[in-house]
Amino acid sequence: MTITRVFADTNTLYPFYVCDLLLHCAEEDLFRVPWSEDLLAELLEVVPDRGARAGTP
Amino acid sequence: MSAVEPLFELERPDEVTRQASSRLERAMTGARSDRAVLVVDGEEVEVPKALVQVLLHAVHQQAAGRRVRVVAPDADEELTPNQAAKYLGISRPLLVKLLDDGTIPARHLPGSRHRRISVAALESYLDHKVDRRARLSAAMNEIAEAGLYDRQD
Repeated sequence: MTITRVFADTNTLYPFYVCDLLLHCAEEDLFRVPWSEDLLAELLEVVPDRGARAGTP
Repeated sequence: MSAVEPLFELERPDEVTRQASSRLERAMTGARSDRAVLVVDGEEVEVPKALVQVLLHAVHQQAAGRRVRVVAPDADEELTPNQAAKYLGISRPLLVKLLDDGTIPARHLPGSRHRRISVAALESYLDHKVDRRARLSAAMNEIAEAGLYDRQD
């Protein structure tokens, strides 16, 4: 038995208060969140004041 | 004398222990020298200065009715999964997941399914956790200072 892996799509990493909650839960070993470069790139597009707003949630 | 364990915990003291700790603390803090001697089976043995400090800390807390935990972070003693779960303050099922995951390394006893975990491995897991939590909090503080924490647009 291993810890459940949860895919965090960009809409769970923004707004940041949701991201904060999600990552703190992962930090408590409730689940693992796998990352990818694509995910971070998409997040940067969604964040206000950071480049094009292509992926508005 | 009882057996030595890698995790040693003094429970909240009863009244007798509390008062004895209080007397010992007063005697130690009022002492002119920091030399201490234990009489073991009628023979005097010098207590190392560093350990006198440990004793002073312990009696101070016990005199106040508090628990005391003595941890040896570099101990090469190994713990059973039950002891390891207790050491970390987590449930046994979660500990088993962390072992299966490889997050905490464990050693299989020869020819057996049973596992043993070193205290050092548990301490390194805790250090890692504290470090990552601090970095996550720092990142979130920066986001909050930039006024982005509550934004949803």
